[in-house]
Amino acid sequence: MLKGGVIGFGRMGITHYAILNTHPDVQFVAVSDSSKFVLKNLNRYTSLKLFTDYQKMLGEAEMDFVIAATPTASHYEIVKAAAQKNLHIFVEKPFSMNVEDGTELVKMAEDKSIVNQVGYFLRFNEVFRAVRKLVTDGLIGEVIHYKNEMYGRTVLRASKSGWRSKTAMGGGCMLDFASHCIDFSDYLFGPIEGVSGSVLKRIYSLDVEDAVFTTLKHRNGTTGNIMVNWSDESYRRPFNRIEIFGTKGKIVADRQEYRLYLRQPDGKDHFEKGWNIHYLPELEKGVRFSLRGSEFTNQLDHFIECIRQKNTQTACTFADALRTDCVVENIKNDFAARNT
Amino acid sequence: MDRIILGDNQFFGISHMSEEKGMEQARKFQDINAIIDVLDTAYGCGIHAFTFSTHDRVQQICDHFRAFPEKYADLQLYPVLPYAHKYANLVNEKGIIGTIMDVVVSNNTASQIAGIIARGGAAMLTQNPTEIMKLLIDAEMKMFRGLNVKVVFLQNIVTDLFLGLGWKDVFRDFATYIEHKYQVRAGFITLNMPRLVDFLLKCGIEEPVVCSAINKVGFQMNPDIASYEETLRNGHFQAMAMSIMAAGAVPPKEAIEYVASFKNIKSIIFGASTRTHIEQTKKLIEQLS
Repeated sequence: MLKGGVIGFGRMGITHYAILNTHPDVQFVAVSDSSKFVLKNLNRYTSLKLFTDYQKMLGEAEMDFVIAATPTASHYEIVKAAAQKNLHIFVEKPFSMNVEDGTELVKMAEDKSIVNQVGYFLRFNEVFRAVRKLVTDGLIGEVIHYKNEMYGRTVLRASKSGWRSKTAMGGGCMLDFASHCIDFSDYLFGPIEGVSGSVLKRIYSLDVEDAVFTTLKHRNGTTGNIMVNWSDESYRRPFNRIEIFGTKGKIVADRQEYRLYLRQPDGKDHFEKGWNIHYLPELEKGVRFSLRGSEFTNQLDHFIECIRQKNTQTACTFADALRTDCVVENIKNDFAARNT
Repeated sequence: MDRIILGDNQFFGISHMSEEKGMEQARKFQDINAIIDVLDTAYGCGIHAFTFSTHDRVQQICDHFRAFPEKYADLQLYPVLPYAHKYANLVNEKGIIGTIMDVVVSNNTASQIAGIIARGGAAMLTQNPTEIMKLLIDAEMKMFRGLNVKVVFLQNIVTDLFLGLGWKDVFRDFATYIEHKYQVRAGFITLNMPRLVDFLLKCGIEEPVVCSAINKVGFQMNPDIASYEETLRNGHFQAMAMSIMAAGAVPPKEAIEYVASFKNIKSIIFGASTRTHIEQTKKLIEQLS
């Protein structure tokens, strides 16, 4: 039985807790959160050890791993403190506020041989996994260019409350939305080496950007556009879409379906010339417990399995997520260079 | 419970098959009259039972039902609460307490709010989660006032969240409040039916009403289809089936044959937006049941 704790019992913390609370090999023993309301209710319904101070929790509770789901600005000190206790760590995305901090944490995790993972859950979506396999198997030939989009209605008016509206806390569309797209591009096409033509736009927010547009260049030569806007009311919920153009065909995919266009049949009778459309119901297998989509269960079960196997190379390591933090910094610099 | 129920996902841009299809439908049903046309078609075919989330626009549909009481005399509604996406962004912005206060304030008159404050206001709320739940249920149920409600469902994200947390009191309190205040059964929608049925029975909720995807390809059936079939054969509960065609992966006849083979399934919820589709599905369910 692995003993765990949760730091930050907000929307993601509670989701992760509920998903792993049903895992046969996991027992949660402690939670820390700054909200009295949250702690009061946890005290009412559970026998967990509860803390307002995560440092105290790390000192007092006996645990094998922690889930850190606090605002991004606090990730560095929390992950550092947990790593010092040799705990395995799952931390929400994005990883860190700056590359220097992130680099230190990556090194610490490596030195301590702790299992480390960051919550870029799109890597665990069955449609996107299938898309990655199509790309790496060369179905659409050499990838020339892609368009990677994310839209949602998260911010529709100016707000002074909530950490997502504050730059210093790690708010903004760049860290909340664009980071998903950057990580997903990295997952599909490998490391990103160049950033150009970046545009950050404020739409309703007072302190942070609401839209990000940029062009990325990968080490393998592939290029692509990132187009992200979290102030688009026409979307019912956050929506991801990618369109990939290759020499032998193209792929258009979202979290529920992919459409593969081939100039010639694949020769193995899997895909025909023209459009091949596949939906999530065909691709997704059941999970032991589902809450808000099987991606979330898959990513946490993977984390637990890696702890059991003592495998520090998770499907989304600190080092993987640090590459996204670097790109975020480059996009900001690229934009600032032309706007100062 | 009604054998055949028309669902409402198609009206609000929700498609389990394709997000683009969902958005296309949202455009089609932007005009409330387009929704009412489909409801009238179903009603004319003899389908008098509808599920509705508490989407803002359902208020307008309910106003329409209330305006023509004779026409909709046999109407049976199965509300599903809460409409979670409505709250997700509010929680991000204002936190849990802020959201609750917002919902309560926007759904009550000044004198009702004065009453709530007199009973302890926000301080009372933080002390007593059951009270919060009651206020939220009442706020959400308000749009259905004066209409015939059959079962009040707890939406799957909330059901499955509390199932994961394992908080039995929440399920008991929800069921008790719905049954006392609204005099109807409480129902639960889930993506984890076998686990939920087992849990609800352990909560002491007898013969619970549980709605879940049930289809022959196992879509949205966790952990697997075999566990679902086992629970459908042996579980002491009232099952309602949705997503029977697995978002289009199973042809209608096969889908209904599969569901009809389980005697425990009392109701079938399906989504449709054309007369042909509604008539065909109803006919097949009646023939194969």
